[in-house]
Amino acid sequence: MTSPAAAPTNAGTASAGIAAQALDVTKVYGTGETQVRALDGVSADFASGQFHAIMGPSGSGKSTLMHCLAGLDTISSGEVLIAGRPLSKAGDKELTELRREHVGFIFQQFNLLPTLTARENILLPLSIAGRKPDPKWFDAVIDAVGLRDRLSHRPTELSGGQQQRVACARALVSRPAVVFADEPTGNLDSTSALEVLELLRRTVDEFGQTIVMVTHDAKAAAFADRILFLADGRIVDEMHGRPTAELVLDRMKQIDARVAGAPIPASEPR
Amino acid sequence: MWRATVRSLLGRKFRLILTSISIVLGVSFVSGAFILTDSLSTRFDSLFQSVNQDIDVEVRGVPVSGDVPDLGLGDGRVPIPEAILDGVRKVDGVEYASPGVTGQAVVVGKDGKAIVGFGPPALGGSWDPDDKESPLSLRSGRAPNADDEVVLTAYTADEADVAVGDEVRIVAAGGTQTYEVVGIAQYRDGNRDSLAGETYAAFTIPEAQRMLNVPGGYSIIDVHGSGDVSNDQLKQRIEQVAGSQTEVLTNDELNAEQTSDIKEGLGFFNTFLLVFAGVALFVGAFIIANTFSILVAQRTRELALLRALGASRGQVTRSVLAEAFVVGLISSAVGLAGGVGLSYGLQALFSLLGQGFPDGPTRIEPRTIIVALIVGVGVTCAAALFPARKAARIAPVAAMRDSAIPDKPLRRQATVGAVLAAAGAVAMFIGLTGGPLLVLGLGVLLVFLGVALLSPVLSRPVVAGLGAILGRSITGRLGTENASRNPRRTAATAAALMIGLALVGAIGVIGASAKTSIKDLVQGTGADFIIQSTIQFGAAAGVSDDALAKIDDVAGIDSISTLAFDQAHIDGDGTTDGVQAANDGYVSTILDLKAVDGDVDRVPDGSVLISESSAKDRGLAVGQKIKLTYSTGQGSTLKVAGVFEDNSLADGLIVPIGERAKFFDTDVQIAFVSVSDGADMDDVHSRLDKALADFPTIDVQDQSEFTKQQTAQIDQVIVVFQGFLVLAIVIAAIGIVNTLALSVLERTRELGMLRAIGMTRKQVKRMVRTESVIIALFGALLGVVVGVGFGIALQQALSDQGIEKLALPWLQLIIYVIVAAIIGVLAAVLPARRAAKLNILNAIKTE
Repeated sequence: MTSPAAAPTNAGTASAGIAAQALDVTKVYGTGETQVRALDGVSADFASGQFHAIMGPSGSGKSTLMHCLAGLDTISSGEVLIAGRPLSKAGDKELTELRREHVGFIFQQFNLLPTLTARENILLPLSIAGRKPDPKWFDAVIDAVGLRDRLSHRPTELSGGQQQRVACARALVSRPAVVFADEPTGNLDSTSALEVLELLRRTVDEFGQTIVMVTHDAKAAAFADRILFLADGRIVDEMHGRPTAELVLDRMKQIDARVAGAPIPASEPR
Repeated sequence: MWRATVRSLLGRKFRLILTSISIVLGVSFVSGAFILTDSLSTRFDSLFQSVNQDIDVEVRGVPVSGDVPDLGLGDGRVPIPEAILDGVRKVDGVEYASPGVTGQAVVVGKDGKAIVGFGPPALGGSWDPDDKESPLSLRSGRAPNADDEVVLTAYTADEADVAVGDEVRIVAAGGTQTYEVVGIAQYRDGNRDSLAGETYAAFTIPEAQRMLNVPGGYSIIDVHGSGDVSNDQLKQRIEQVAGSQTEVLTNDELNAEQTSDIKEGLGFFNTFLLVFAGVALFVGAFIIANTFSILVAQRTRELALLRALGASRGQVTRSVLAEAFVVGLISSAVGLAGGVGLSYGLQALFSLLGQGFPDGPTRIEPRTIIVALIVGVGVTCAAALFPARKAARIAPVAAMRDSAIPDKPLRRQATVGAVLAAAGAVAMFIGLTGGPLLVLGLGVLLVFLGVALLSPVLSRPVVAGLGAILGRSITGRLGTENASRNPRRTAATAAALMIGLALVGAIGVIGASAKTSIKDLVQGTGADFIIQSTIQFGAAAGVSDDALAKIDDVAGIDSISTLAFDQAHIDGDGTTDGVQAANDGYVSTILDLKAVDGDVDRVPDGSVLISESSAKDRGLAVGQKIKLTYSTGQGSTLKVAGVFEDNSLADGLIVPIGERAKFFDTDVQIAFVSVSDGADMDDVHSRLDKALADFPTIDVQDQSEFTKQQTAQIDQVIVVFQGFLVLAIVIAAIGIVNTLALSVLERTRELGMLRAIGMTRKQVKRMVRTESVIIALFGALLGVVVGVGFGIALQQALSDQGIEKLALPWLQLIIYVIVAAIIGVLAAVLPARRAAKLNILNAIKTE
C-alpha cells in the first residue's frame, strides 16, 4: 500500500508508511468450555495518512481489535506494532508512554474533564507528557475543528458536537502516528455527526493523519478510504476507494447472511 | 423496603465498614471510660471492705477547721487525747481497741531522692503493737521496737531500694530522720505490696506521734466489738466516752466515706475521658453525615425508582435511617468490645506512668451497654438524618433523568453557618466570663458547626490558593480541581480534621501562653534561686524553719524572701480570701506592688496589705482595723496599711510573715534567694545544695531550672491532652480515605480516559494524593485558625489567673499543618493505589 508522504506524525521513518500493524493476532477470553475467541488470527496493515474504518456486527470483535491495536488490551498471540514498535511484550509503563506519544483517542462518550476549559482539555495529553504545544500546530488544529471562539468554555457550556470536536482536537494535538476513534458519532445527532466525520476526513486529507475508526454506521464508514469487515473475530471482507453508504450497507447484509449459518459467539465479552 | 435496605447495606460493605470505624472508635472510648471507672470503683470498694474488715467502729478527731481540706493524710484533724483510749476500752461490748497515729511521711530512696508521685499519697503511721486490727502484716523482719526503727510496705521498700537491715531517711512534720528498716510489711488482703501505689512507713507509737505531729494523742482508735451488740449500738456507747472533739464511725460509714472519696475522683476521671469520647463522636458524626450524603447521591436513580413505584417520602427516609440504625447497632456492639480492650490499655498506660490501680475484675455494667448502644446508634442516626431527608426530596421523575437533585445554594448554608458561629462565640464568651462550663462547651460546639457550614464557601478560594502552591504540574492541577469539584464534600471531610486540630491548637496556644507567662513572672521576681519542696501537699510540702536557718547561714546570700499561704475570714463576714504571709523582702523585691493608697512596700507587724478588688468588695480603707480568722480558727486583728493594685502574684491579703504561726501550714512554702553582688552563682548554688543536704524534699533551683520544671509540667499536660485528641484526628483521616475512595469511584471513566491518553500510574497516584493533601491542609488551616481563636479567648479569660501573656506556638502550629499534609498523603495511599490499578477498558466502558 502507498500513502501520502506528508504525514506530520511522530511515526518516524522506520515504519515505512505503516502506522499500525496486526500480525496474526488472537485474543482469547476464558478457558475450556467457556472459551471465547474474540480475535482469531487477524492480520492487517493500517497505512499512514489514510482513514480506516472497522465494521462488523455486534460481537464480531471490532472493538477488541481496536483496543488491542491501541495498546489498551493485551493479546493472546501474534503481534501488534504501532509506529514500528512491537506491543506484545511491553509493560504498562511502555504502553502508557506509547499511547501518550504515538496514539490519539476519540471516545463515543467524548470523555472530557468537566473541570477544565476546552483549551485545557485539548492540551491535556501534552500536559500529561510535560510538553509544550507547538503554537503553529495548535493553531492549525483549532482552525480545523473550528473552536477558536469556544476555547475558554467548559464542556458543560458546549453542545455534544462541539464537545466531540474538542475531543478530536485533543486526539490530534500530540501529532500521534494513529488516532483511534471508537464510534465517535454514536452519541451525536445526524448534523453534528456529519460535522465530526467531515472534520476527521479533513485531517486525513490536509494533515495526512492516520485514523482507525470503529463504527457500525454505514454512513460513517463511507467517509473512510478503506473498510475492514470483521465477523467472528476474523477479517471477512474489505472495501476500498470510498464506497457509498448504500454499497457499504449492501456488503454488510451479505456478510450478515454469510455468518447467519455459522455459530455466533453468545456475546462480546466486556 | 426492609429488603432494599439490607441489599443496599450488603452492596456497600467497604464504604460502611470505613464509616463504622469512626463510630466504633467513639463508642469504644465511651464504653472504655465507663468500664474502667466502674471496674476501679468496684475494686476500691472491695479493697476498703477488706482493709477495714476488722474495724467495727472507728474513732477519730474532728477536723481542725471546716476550711481545711482533708487530703487523706490525717493531719487536718484534732488529735484524740490518750485518756479517751482508756475510756473506749472500758465500754461494754468492746473486745479490744487499738490506737493509731497517721500522717504524711515521705520516704527518701537510696539515691537521695524523695519518693513522690502526682497521685498516690506518701503515708506514715504507727505499727499496731497488738497486731490485731492493722490491715498490714509482716512479710519479713519484725515490728519496730525502738524510736529509730521502721517497717516499710513491700512497695515502699522496692521504690526506695532498701531491705531489712538497711538505713532509710524519712521526711515528715517532725523533720528528717534516719531509721533502720526492721521489717517489710504487706497487706493482709491478697498479700499486696501496696493498695494503689501509695508509700507507707510504720513507726512505733511514740515516734509516730513525734514525727507525724500528733503530740500526746492518737489520730484514730480502731475498735473491735465482742459481737454482742450491733456496730450502731457500739458507736452510740463509744460516743458517750469519746468527748466532743471526736467523730465515731461504724464500719459501714467508714467504707461509704472512703468509697465516696474515690468515686468522686473516678467521676472526674470518667468525665475527662467522656469529653474526649464526645469529641471523637462529634468528629465521627461528620464522617457519617458525609458518607450517607454520598450514598444517597449515588442512589438517586434507585431511590427515585422506589418513589416512582409508589414508596412514600417517609418510607424513603426510613429506609436510609434503617440503614444508619443497622450500621450504628453493629458499630456499637464492636465498639463495646473495643471498650473492654481500651480499659485494659488505659490501665497499662497509667501503670506505665506510675499511677497504679488495684487489680481485680473488669466490670461491664448494664448501664455501660445501654449508653454505648444509645450513643452509637443515636449519633449514627442523627448524622444520617439530613441525608435521609434529602433522599426523601428526590422526585420520582429523577429515575428517568440523568441529573442529580441540584444542591441548595451555598449562600443560604453559609448564612446559617455564620449565625451559628456567632452564637457559639457569644456562648463561649458567656462561658469564659464566669458562666457555666456547659455553656462554654455548647459555644465550642456551635462554633464548630458554624465553621463547618461556612467551610464550603471558604473551600473554593482556599483550595484554589493551596492548588496554586501545590498544583503546578498537570496532576497537581487536576487533583486541585477534583478537590474543589464538590465543595460540600471537601468541606465536610476537612471539617472533621478541623475539630481535632482546633482543640489541639487551642491547647497549644494556652500552653505556650502559660509557659511564657511563667517565664516572665520568674524573671520579673529578680530572684536568683527558688527554694521549695518537691512534695505538693501536707506537712512536707514546705520549707521548714530549720532549713531556712541553714539557708541563712550560706555565704554569698544577700536576702531571702519568704512566703506562706492560708485562707482567712475577714471580720467573720462569712467570706474567705486568700492570705499570704510575706516578709518585707518578698513584698518589696518579688511582688513589686503598685500602691493605690498607703504604703505597700513592706508589711510591718500588726499590719495588713489588701488588694484593690478585695478592699472594694468589703469597703475597706487604709487605717481601718480588721479581724482575720485563719483556717485553723486562730486569728489576729491587723491594721490596713496599704491598698495595692491586683496582680498575678497577689490578689488578696498580705500579712507579716510571723502570722504563719497561726496558719494551717506553718512552714514557709517558697523562698526566693538573692545573691550578693560579686558572689559566684554556681558556688552559691552548690553551697545551698550542701546546706540543704539533710532536707531531701527541698529543692534549690535557679531561674532557668525552675522555669524548665514548671514548663515541663505544662508540656506534660499538653501531651496528655493531645494524646487523647489523636483519636479524633485518626477518625478524621478515615473520613479522608472514605471521601477519596468515593471520589475515585465516581471518576472511574475519567481515570480510564486519562490512562488511555497516556497518564502513567504514578501520575494518577500523584493526582489522588494532591486531592487528599489539599483536603487535609484545608482542614488543618481551618483548625489552626479556629484553634488559635479559641486559644486567644481562653488566654484572655485566664489572664487574671496567671496566664497574662499571649504567646502563639508558631513552630508547633506549622508542625500541625505539616502533620496534616502527611495525614493527607497516608490517607491517599489505598485510594490512589486503587485508582492507579483501574482496568482502563472497564473504566472507559463504565456508564
